Amino acid sequence: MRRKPGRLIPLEIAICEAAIELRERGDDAFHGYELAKMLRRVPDAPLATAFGTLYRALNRLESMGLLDSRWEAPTIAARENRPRRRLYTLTAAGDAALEEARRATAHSSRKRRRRLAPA
Amino acid sequence: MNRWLLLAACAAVRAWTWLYTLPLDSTAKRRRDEIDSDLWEYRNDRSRHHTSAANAVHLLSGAVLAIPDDLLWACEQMPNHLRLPRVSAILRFAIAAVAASTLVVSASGPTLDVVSVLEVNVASAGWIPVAGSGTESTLAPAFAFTLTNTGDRPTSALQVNAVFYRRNAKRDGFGAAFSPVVGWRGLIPGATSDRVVLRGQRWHIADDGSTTAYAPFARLSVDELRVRVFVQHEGRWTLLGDFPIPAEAIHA
Repeated sequence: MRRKPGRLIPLEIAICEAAIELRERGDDAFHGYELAKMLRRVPDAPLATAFGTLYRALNRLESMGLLDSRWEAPTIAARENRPRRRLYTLTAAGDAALEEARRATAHSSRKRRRRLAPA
Repeated sequence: MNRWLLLAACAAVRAWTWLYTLPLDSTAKRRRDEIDSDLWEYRNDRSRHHTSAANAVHLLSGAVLAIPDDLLWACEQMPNHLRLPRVSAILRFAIAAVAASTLVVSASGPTLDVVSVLEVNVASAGWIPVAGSGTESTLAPAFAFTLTNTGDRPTSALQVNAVFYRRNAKRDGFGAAFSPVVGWRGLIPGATSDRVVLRGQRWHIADDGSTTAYAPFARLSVDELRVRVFVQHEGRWTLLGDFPIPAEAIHA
């Protein structure tokens, strides 16, 4: 998909929205598997549950400064006897980019509706 | 059984991740660790109520669908995260490549007919003294020779086996001997091998001219004892020649 610079594609918007939803539930940071499970419920992102697709998008958002990531503390993983998780957090720039994306989507929807409306 | 399917699917995903991150530096480790973590979560997710087989199919289909993204991601990372292979790794790879190509070329080329290109140069043939005791001496048939490569291609490693036998005698064997001629370097065109001496079974001969129970050495005619020499080249044994062992003493 060709994209305009600075514009988010639907999968990236879905990731940011999932991050906000998780934050509202009290989880500031999320990991890839948790995100994949949430995205499975989003109808526009059926391929996102594939790890490769998801991580490519996460890397992209991180390099754009919209996400931050860090490894979980080893003691937590050791206590739960599992591998360490890579935890992602939505940054303030991510919040702003999502707002912008929502505004742009709403604007283009209005334009589309006007075009389709009978004269 | 179904559990094994899921484990196999996880192994396949892990192998694919390892493969496409192979040319990358520390970024590869991060991606592999993330995928490892996700696979663990996937296997231990109690909210998934599908059978293990369905989960395995889901996992594999997801991995297949993500292949383009995996490859694109690897390409995106390469300019900044390409791992430069160490010199030793390059050397190992080069040696393996040369060995593999040599093997392919030698395996695909026409087989060398060693019988037609190897010339047997008989140095000596006869009987050599082995040991002696008070009333008898011990002799053994011996055949000393070199091999010359008269062809235009080098040979592989060569080994020979000699079978000493008596003409017209079904039961009386005179023993067999085995010896390497040249090692893995082979024999280059025009080269002659080192001298090889092959020795048969010992014979005890009484000092008064009569022999012990086997057969009378004195009564052997010149062409009665012979040796068949076989050569092994590239795993195949071929008869190289049949030579007489004269009834005369030699010093090998």
